[in-house]
Amino acid sequence: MTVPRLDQGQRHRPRMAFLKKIEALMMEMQNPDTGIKTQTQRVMITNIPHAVAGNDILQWILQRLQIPQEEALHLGDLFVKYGYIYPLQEPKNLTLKTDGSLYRFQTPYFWPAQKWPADDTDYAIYLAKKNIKRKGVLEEYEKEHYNMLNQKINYKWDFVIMQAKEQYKAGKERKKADRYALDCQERAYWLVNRTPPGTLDVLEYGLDRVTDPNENKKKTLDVYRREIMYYQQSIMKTRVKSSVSLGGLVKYSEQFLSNDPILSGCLPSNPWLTDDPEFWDLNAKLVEIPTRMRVERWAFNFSELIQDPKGRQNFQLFLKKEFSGENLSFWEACEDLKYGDQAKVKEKAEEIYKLFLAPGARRWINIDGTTMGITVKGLKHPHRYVLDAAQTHIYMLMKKDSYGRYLKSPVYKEMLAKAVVPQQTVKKSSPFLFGRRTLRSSPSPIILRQQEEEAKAREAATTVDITQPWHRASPAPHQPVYTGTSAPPSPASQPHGTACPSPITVALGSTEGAGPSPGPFPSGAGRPRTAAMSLGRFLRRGCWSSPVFTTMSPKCSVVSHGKVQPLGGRERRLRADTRAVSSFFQIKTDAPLESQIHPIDSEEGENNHPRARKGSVKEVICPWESPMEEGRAG
Amino acid sequence: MWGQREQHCAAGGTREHNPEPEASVEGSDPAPASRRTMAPGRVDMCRMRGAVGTCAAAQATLCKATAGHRQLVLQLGGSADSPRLREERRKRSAEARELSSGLRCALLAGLRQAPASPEERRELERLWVLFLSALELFLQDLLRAHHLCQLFSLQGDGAAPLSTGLGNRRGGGPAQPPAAPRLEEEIEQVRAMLAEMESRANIPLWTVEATQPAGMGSTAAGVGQGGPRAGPCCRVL
Repeated sequence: MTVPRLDQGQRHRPRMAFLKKIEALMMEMQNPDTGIKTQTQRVMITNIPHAVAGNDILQWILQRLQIPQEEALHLGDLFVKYGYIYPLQEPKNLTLKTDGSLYRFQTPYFWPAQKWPADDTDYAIYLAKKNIKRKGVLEEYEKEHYNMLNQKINYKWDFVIMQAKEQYKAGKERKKADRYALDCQERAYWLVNRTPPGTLDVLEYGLDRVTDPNENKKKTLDVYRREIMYYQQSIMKTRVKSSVSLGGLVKYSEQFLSNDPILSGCLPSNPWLTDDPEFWDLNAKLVEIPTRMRVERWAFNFSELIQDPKGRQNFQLFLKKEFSGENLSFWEACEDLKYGDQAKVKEKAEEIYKLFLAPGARRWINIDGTTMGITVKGLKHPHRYVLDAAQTHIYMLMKKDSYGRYLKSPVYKEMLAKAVVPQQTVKKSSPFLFGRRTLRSSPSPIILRQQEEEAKAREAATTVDITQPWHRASPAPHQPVYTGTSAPPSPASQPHGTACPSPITVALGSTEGAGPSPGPFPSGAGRPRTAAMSLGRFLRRGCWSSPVFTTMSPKCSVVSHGKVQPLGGRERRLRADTRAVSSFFQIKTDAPLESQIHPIDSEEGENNHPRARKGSVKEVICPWESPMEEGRAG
Repeated sequence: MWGQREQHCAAGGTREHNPEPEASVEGSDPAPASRRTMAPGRVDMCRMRGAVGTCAAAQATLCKATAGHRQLVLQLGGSADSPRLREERRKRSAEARELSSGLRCALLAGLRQAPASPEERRELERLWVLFLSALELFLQDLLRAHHLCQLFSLQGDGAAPLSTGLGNRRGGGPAQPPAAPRLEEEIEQVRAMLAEMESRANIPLWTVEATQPAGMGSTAAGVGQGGPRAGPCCRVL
């Protein structure tokens, strides 16, 4: 008994309008006057009538449909492939041969039908019959099907065997010629409906459909209403002219042809052929010196640059010189949010907001008011794609603005000059050894990941960020986070503000009441807090002048951060943790009790707003944070 | 014994006298001759075994009838199609339907009474599943026959049959009334039977295991060697 499945959509076979058309032609072919002349097939000593020659079929199609030769041949071939005509001399070769090869018409029972797919039970019975007839005659793929079906419909297997026996017996009762014809018919049917491996399955139609094409819906008002809605939505879909999309494809293919390792070969050599993994080593994600082809690809378009980790690294170097490194860092952070852990989505979103988006954030990115509004609103209920609008804005900004300059910059040109062009290795010719020894496989993902992290750490160690002030006093073993020249942090960027304008000194002067003393901080832990405090106070005083502000906000490189925590009174350790920093954010394991995730509460956010707006910003508070967190800031 | 079963059968169904199953009962039932000599306590068991035996025999006969029917439907629309063929098909179909209704009653009766042993129960369940499968196949063939008869109606408004290599095409035979309504009735009858069976007995499919070996050689997983085993066996795809 077949278990009827609950209809949850996509259970219907699609329309197959071509079947009816072919059937009409088939029936016309039978006409004794205008149809095809039949011959007799001689099989050993029996004569079986109604055989037709391939050439006759072709001629008939040409004459009846008045189409060119090629089309007629193709159409005739399709007739055979769909199983309306089957070859007699080479049963497995479902093509139309235009010589004297003989074919016969298939009985209508075995015609392909839209309503009824070829049933598994029937196939099982057929295979069992074949097995009974002569043991061991099943092909390999048939044996596989047989075993698979045995497991699949095991509950009716006894029935299958019984029915196979009975059908076999029933067949034996007929006279020999008929039996032969019937066997040929059935075999042809299954060759069409369960194609052997390697043969094209013309009846395959992809997925089942949601709607039943055979359903005769009464045209009620509701049906019309739904149809109208459907068509309106279809019209609203974005469309591209095929000339345009094809043109794009051609352009892409032409541009990337030389880069394709299969079409244009790869240097030094294809590892799968020569067993030499140098190609993989040279093209590792964060290799020291990339290949020339790779660097040239970065100039094709912006997405090539940004999708290549090495390209991103190089671009970030350039951006830091232009003081817009936070853009790329923000973009990377958004990617991490989108593709990272679901459990950490809320925390990450909050951290990103605090670091990049909040007014007064340390690495504030410049996005327009509308986008900011949308983003902040969305952050009340964060999900993976909540920062999409902002990310797109920043992406377009980088693409339209920075990218052009990057390609002309010395950073890029230097990389291009440094890039290596590997020599093509000579293929070692030892054919008899090749088959024996075990070949190397491509590098394991685990090893790749370790290598990436090491490379990242190395890059972080060697680059210097001129705007990073307080790492100087940090007891960390490595010099983190400095890009460009390794100049000592400029006085202007010291939050303890020697050269800062007076409001800052005033602000800083009044920090003593605020918790740990603002003296030299060996651990560097307290300082950021006061920095935050002083920043907050500075801003509270309404000193909003942007140049000072930009120098104030230190620009940390992404990779150097060990454990970043949002501002707002929590301990923040800026110790450069150059151990394996795999993700942008790491949640501190020994977090003090107070550093909990703020509940994103819209009501409390509303309460907060007036206070937040009062003096620009109190601290870097997310609008949805609960008011009690403020008190802990000090 | 068959008549007794029919009386148990609550459904209307056909009450025709079924010569075939009785004949097979006589042949396949080993017990009747020795029944008189056995102790009264064991008569029930023998009757039970007999019930299963009759059901199994009826199932085999049903298979034969459906196989014959299928072969006739195969030739519809082909060169062997003729009124005679269609008449024969109708006869076979009637035969199969009678068999199936009788078998259904028997199985239902057997399942309703508490059978003597769990093996009996399992055997009956197995036969039930086999019967359902046979009915489904039969229904599919009937649907095809209906479709083909409409497409290749012999009245003259249908298409000309195809030259398929089979012989016996004789245009003679008595003038047949249009067969379509009768075919539709047949289909309805079988459908109703199927629906009734599916609703009457709650037999999960996975508890039935094949008793026949796969017979494919080394690659066949050890399937159903021997009789039905105890306990459910989930065959998840």
